[in-house]
Amino acid sequence: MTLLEIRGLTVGYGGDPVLEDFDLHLDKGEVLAVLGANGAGKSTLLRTISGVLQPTAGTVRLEGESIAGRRPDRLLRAGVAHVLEGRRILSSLSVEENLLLGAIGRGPEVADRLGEMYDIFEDLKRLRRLSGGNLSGGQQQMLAIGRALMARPRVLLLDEPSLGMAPVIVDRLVDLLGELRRRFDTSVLMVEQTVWMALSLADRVGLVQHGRLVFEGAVDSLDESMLGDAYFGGEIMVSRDGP
Amino acid sequence: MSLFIETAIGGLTLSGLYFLIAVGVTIVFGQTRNINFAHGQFLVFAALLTWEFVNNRGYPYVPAVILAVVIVAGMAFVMDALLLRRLGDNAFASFLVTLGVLLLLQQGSVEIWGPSSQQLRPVVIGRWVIGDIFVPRADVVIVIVAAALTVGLFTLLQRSRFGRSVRASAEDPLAASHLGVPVRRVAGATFVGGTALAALAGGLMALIFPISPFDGGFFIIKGFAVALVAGLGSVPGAGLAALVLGMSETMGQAYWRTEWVPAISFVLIIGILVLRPSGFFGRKAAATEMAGGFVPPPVPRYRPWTTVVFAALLGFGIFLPVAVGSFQGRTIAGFAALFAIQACAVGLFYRLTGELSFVHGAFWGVGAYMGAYASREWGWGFWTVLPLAIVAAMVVAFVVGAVILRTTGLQFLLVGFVATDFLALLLVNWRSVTGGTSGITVIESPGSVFGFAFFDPRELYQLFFALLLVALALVWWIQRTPFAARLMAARDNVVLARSLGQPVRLNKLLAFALTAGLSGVSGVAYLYQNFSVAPSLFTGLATVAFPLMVILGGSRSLLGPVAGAFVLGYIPFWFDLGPGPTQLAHGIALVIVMLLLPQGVVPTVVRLLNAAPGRLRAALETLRRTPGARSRRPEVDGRRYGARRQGRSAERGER
Ligand SMILES: Nc1ncnc2c1ncn2[C@@H]1O[C@H](COP(=O)(O)OP(=O)(O)OP(=O)(O)O)[C@@H](O)[C@H]1O
Ligand SMILES: [Mg+2]
Repeated sequence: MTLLEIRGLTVGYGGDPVLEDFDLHLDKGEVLAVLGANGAGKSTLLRTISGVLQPTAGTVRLEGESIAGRRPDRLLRAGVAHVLEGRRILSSLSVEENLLLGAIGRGPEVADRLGEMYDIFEDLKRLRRLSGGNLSGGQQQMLAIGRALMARPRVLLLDEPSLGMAPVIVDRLVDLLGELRRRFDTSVLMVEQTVWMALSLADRVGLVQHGRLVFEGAVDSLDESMLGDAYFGGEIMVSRDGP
Repeated sequence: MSLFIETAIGGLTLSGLYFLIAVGVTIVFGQTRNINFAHGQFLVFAALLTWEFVNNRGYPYVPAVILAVVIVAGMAFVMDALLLRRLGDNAFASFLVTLGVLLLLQQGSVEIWGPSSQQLRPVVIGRWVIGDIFVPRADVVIVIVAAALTVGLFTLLQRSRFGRSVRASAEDPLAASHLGVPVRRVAGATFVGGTALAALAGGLMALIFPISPFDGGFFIIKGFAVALVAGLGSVPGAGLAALVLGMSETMGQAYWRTEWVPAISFVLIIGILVLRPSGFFGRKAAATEMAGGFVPPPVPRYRPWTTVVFAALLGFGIFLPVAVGSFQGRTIAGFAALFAIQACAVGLFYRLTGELSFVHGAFWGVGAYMGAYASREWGWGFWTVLPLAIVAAMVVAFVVGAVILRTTGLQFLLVGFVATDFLALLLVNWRSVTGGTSGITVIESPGSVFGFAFFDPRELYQLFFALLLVALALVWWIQRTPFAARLMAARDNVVLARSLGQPVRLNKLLAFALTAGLSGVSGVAYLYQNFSVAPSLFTGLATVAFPLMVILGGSRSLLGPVAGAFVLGYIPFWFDLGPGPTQLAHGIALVIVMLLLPQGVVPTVVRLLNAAPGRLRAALETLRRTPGARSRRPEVDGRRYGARRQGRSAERGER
């Protein structure tokens, strides 16, 4: 069943459009990875879905209801959470406050979710009184994801979760995301540069090149040369142990 | 010892009030990166409302204060929803609108309650005597309420969901909104809440001080001082800074010289700027986020027809007093011309650096007083006084600028405002030179030069108009020098300019001093037009009219400030307004211009004029082709299209 559907989307920053006539859909319960070179328009796609950018044409629908142009805070209430590129942890708030800020709902419910997050992210429990700014990059990424999950979103948008992290930490992240998938009923649209990570998690892949979707389909149907093209012909590491 | 303790209690009271003022300034800044100039005026309004309810209507004190706070909070809500929300991210325009609100509110209070100070009927009376120490009960009430509010505020900010939202959106509004924080609504609530705290401070203050409608500027300076010293955005810092300011003012009053006490806030601000521009507790980032004023898009290049119209207007300017007729109208023409020189100086500095200067009003005052002094003490005439005043204004600007140009954007603007007020204080207190509050009177005229006599208002106007033309030519020329090009490049990208090894600060300082020279000219002209100078003419609020002229007329245009000066100068004359309603009109003009014509009058007129011939031609064509000449239509359309395209490229043409 289609949860999120994007049709004919055209969006930009005032000049030439960054995405043009863009179609994409996310099914319930699946993980969709969107890959593409730097500047291809991946973050722009996520920003448009979460309401930061206004599309000039096209529609974004969540379970059939148009959500294009709704502000991020209202969209979160509708069930779409967006983990921004670069994590953006609030350093004037403690770790626990960062988590609480992301929560929607009543007191006891929130307390339950907090406990659940601490179950999954044990580091965060230990560090909960620290200022969010004092965490390491990897811990911050966990916090960013945990914080978004506090709202129990139906759709989780992840922008480059592996950015700037050591391979070991990325492994952890893959495990965690797998666990989150099992535990919560959340569909994930993730944008990634670390191709092996994306492919090991995703059910389907989309390839963006110069603002257009050049491929969309199941992971195993992805042609490696296509992937290479999307990244300007570079050698791409498809699995951790090499191509 | 008992004097010390009593003074300390007084200091604590004052600190509590200052904290209540400053906390609103600082948390609102955290949300909006903007400052509400009318903040202190809201306090005054609440104090006057309290007085009205208690003294005139016989309400008990507590409900009176609550009612006053609710009314003022409601006004803040309306101001936020109707004005500030519309201007969105344009902090500069929002700031100027708050200035307009201040003018409106102040004059509104005068219209309702008259201009004099009002003293609340004693409601909390008596004092406790402990040994030989007297503790006024009113002070105790204020300290307790302020302390309770401080604790409550900290709890709210630290423990509640709303407090988390406030802190989060102050740090990173985008991230906060992705976590479900309705950022705009939180900012609105903060604005209303912060203003309500100021209103409460007003209600409390009425217990111990008489309040006049003109105190708004005074209180906002206290708010700025505390918030700037603490570091904008820092609430605990504001607590500490309020304590420092309140204590030192009260101690100064008791042990030192009363007349210099208002200088303490100025000294604190300057001190912090020299030592630590982001304030004691401020994040470095908060200070830099204020950097760079709002620079509107350039004015479209004049097309020939537009040039003709403007040249004709300038030519007509010489005959203005003849056209106006009455004596009063001619006198106003003189003021408008000399204000225009000053507005040109402010406008030029703005175009060169992107900084709106509120401190050029002080250099204007330096020019006027230097002239008055030289004339009274040494018997110098207009033509020798003029160069002296220019030099004096430039020297003062150089020294002042060396310190205050460390700031940029809104912070520069605030510091400039405070510095101008400091000069006014200096003029009051340095009696032997300045004649104190009554100022200096010089009944003299510029005499005659090269057979031209300058005695009556018309002749004086023509002299000032000639000076204005010289100033305009000078400004026009300066804008075309490589020096100006370097400054404007730095205005648009400081980092780049610095990395190319340009002495950005020094260049700015030179431009500052240069434009201050023009202020000196205008100051001397003012002296000869008005025959006297007095400190009240040169306070921060009195000289706000100059940046206002620049904004109203069009800050990016050469003639904008001139148009602003003439329009603002003549508004009271046309509508036959006294000084109070004039200020009201200024406030309304400012709000309307910022909302409807944010680029000012002149650029709008230029755009209309540029398009006029094309429109006219198009209208004529339509008339001609109407009788059924269907076959010619494509050609006509083609021509019209061409005309429009030309217009666009002409607009883009200018830098
Ligand atoms: N705020 C902005 N204003 C103007 N242009 C922008 C803005 N943000 C992004 N762009 C442009 O839009 C294009 C797509 O940017 P986007 O951030 O979506 O790329 P991306 O695919 O996420 O790249 P990366 O992998 O580097 O994060 C780029 O050419 C970029 O320069
Ligand atoms: Mg990106």
